[in-house]
Amino acid sequence: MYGGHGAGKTLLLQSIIGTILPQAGTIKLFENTDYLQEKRRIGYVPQMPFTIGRMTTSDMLHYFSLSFGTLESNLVKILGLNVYEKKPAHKLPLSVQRNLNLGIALLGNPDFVLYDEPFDGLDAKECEKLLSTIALLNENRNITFLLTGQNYDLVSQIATKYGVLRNMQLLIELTPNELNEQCDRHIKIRTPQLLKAIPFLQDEFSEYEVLADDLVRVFCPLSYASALNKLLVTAGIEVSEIWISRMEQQEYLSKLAGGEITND
Amino acid sequence: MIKIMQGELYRVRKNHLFFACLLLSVFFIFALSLTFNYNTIRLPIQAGNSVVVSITRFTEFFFSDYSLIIPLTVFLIFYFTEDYQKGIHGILLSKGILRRDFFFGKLIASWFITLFYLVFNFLIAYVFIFFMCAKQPYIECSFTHISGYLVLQILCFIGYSSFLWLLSCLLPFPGIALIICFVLLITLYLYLNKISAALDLSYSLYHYWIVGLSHGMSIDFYVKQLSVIIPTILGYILLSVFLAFLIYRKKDLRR
Repeated sequence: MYGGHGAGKTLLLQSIIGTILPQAGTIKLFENTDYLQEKRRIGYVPQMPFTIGRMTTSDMLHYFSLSFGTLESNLVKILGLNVYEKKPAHKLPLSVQRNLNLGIALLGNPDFVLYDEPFDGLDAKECEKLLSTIALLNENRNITFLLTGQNYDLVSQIATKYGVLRNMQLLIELTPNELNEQCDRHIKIRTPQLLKAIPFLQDEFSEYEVLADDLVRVFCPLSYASALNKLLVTAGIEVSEIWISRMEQQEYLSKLAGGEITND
Repeated sequence: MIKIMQGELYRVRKNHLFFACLLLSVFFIFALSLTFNYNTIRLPIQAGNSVVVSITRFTEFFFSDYSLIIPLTVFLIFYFTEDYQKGIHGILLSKGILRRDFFFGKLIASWFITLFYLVFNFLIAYVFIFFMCAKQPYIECSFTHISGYLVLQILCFIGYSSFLWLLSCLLPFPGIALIICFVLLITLYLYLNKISAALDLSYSLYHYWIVGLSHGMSIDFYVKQLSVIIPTILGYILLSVFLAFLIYRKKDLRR
């Protein structure tokens, strides 16, 4: 789930888990509108790691397994948690605290884990380790992860679907292939008469972006390149250059989430 | 709800603050016992009077100040507000635990903790006083009066813990909730006590404040005043729980 700050990623997760009550609409989990029935099948890892008092790793796992009414997780090895650790959990490194929180979310063998900003505050090595853990859990245990954040480079290694959120609304859902197609589908035009060209572009193509005084980028199927060129030339606008260009996925997602480009 | 209670009782077992507060209350109880010993045994002996140690009077003396209330207030406020501060609600609710179950599970667990806290302190207090008065030839004790009185005191404390639960639902910040608690304790003591004295009320206004009721309840008169004491305690328990539940079930539980 890609989205800028304040896009509503955490809010959406909080609505699903029930810490805030939605004012309208319905929530469906696993195709079931009575989502309370299905909540046992999910797990939640918050953005800020949580610990309780001076509880150790093993105390926290025991406390939550008692409260959830589940057996303690057998995934501690996969997560690299040391249940014999005597230090209180709040004194452990951030990455260990996050792994502990993931371990708690995995109690009761959920099918779906909501993981809010998983890479926040982790260094490159810890991020790689977390990615491999998530991939392993997905492959071996069939656990689906919903990750939120803005780090495309990391997530792209494992993501099978992207959702873009802006102003509390899910704008689009894309597979990696569809994302690549979206990034490929734009044409750059260099013209000294940009101001004159814009009304024509506005009429025909809703998605465009002015990059410089003489450079504009139009989002449309690539096959439209000749039609676009013809439109401008017919209108008496000088076209210095026209070429098919592509955008990086990270840039595309950022612009989409930031409202600089729209989707159709 | 039972699972939540089990989890909460385990959590309290692992809570260092609880043991610190228990230790503090034992220290206060020891100080109270010493004071009682000095006032009722040492001073009369020094004056050459005969001494009768009254466990009944000691039991009443036990609640004559806020020795038991203060450590319990500190623990319960931190215990209740910790869930809001640490974002524990989200984790529990995400696994399908209902708000209602968490609310009542935690509340009832806090009642059990209050009960344990009081019974532990009662036992310690009686051990102290029996050691201190071991050499005295005559010890006066009325078990029926004392046990009834202690049951009412336990109910008062359960009412007070329900009130703290309501307060933490309204103000989920430990610092603010604690300050309000202490301001309430001091203000209501000073204000209501003086008003009641000035109006010469038969059943003091101060007694309608649950801490004041515990503080001012007399072992000789509690049976006669049961018709007022029981509704006051039940009012605190039921009204606090009802209001707290109304707030909690719609509350934004984000960290």
